[in-house]
Amino acid sequence: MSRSARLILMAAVFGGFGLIVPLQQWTDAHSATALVEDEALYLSNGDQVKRLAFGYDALLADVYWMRAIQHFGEKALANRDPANPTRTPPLLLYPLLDVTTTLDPQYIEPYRFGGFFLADFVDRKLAVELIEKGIAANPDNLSLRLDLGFLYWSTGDCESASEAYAGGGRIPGAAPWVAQMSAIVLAECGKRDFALRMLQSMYDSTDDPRVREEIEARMKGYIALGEIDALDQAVAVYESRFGAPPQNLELLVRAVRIPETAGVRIRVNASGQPVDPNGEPYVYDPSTRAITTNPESIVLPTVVMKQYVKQSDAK
Amino acid sequence: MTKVALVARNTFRELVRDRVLYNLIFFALLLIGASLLVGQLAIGNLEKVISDIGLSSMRFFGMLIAIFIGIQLVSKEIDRRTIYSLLSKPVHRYELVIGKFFGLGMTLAINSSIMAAGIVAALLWVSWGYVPQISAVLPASYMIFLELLVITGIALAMSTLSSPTVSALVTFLLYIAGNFSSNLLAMADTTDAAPLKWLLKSLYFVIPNLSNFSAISTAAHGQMISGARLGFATLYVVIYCGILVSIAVLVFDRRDFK
Repeated sequence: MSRSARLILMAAVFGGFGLIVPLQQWTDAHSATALVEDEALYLSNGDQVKRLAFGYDALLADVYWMRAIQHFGEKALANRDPANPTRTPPLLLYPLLDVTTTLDPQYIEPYRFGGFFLADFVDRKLAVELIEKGIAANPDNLSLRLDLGFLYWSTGDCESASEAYAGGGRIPGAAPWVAQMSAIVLAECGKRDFALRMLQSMYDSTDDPRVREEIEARMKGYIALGEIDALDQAVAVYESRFGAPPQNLELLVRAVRIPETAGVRIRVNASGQPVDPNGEPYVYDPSTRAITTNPESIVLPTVVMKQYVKQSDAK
Repeated sequence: MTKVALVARNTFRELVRDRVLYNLIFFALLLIGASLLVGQLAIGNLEKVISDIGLSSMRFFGMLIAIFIGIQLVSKEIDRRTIYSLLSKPVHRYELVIGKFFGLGMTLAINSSIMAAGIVAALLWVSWGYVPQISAVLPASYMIFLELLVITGIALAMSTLSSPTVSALVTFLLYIAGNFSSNLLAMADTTDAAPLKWLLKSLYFVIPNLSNFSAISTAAHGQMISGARLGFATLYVVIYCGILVSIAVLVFDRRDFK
């Protein structure tokens, strides 16, 4: 082949790639509707996926795990925007985590992640189901027992929570406090400081920074609930003293001493506004007297994204 | 014995000249990419994901080498007509077949060892210290190597029997069947027809049970594979490869190259 022919061919190769770029960009721009996320999981049966894995179960488990995180992350981002018309709960989270844990039953993170997020964003029963599946596959794992205990407790099922802790206490090498929690959960069912103690024990049982971050966020939610209760009491005192509710919380904290019950201690910022554990001012509506957190800062334990589930049920 | 070693050494040299070990470059890039990216995508346990990706790649690349090189071990010599000069030398046909098997086995052993070292290096890099996966990866790599020897045996036996295309197809089908072999036993238990039950049970023992070498998940969780399992798997491979190489020798010995 002559030198000029070779040069022409090389130019054709580079020129061809040069043409493909704008062509693909044009195609992408004109087929945006086709790029809507597919809300289906073609292989949602873990046993079937396991059969088709040809021994690459562990690798596929990682793939499904990362897909679960991405799915949840995408939904969380989309749902954060109230103007987004496509707000839906992360309904694929459970099947994705179910496949992940069927492919690799010893993979603890997906059970814990599912326990936290399925309960809040999809269905608490599915969260319990996933954690119980994890316990069946990993009977000696204490973290899963603690998570299950917390889940049951948060639904008000203190007897099941007590059983979960009792099961944890029977694990060889478990600290004595785990078994003691079984009795305490029945005695102190529904108490907020008990929730904090449970969360603290879950926090201590993991080294994963992201799981710890999530537990910490929940602990702050419970602390904020206590502070809101104290502020509510102060609003009532203010109203009885001045005949009308305060117009804002700065006025309230200046006029009324906030009761310091059960270790609650209200902090104020430089402007004199009472702030949540993240330092964000509490949100107050004088017409309804309702005090809450800024959801961008702290999501209160009772304010979960159930409305999306309700929407989907209605459909 | 020395002739077998000579054939094995030459097979190994030829494979190195054929740039078979170039797959290590892809492997290295994959591990580096995974170490950098997966930490951003997965929550927790980066060491598990690195071990999964590393060991699965070792198994996948090894499987490709074992099948596509294995099927050419004998057929290439026939196609190139180099078989005549080889057989005119004082080398028995069985020595040639056994030497070819060990030559590819040696290549796979070196390939797997370098990959195992790469996984250990990646684990050290991401964890900045000792993690249980570092010790667990080594026996798991050995199990993968044993599995690759079985595939090599199948490919070699097929290469003496048939054309490269048919050999590749049959080897690949047996590889798939080997991953499903436990299902055969389950199917046998559910059927009432005695001949079918017998056939399925026979197939279960004839088809290589590749789940015997499944160790990736165990290693990725930092758990050690028991010595008994390693010993059993080694014995299984010795017997199974012995059968396959014997078939290859029997067929090759009767083959007419005129």
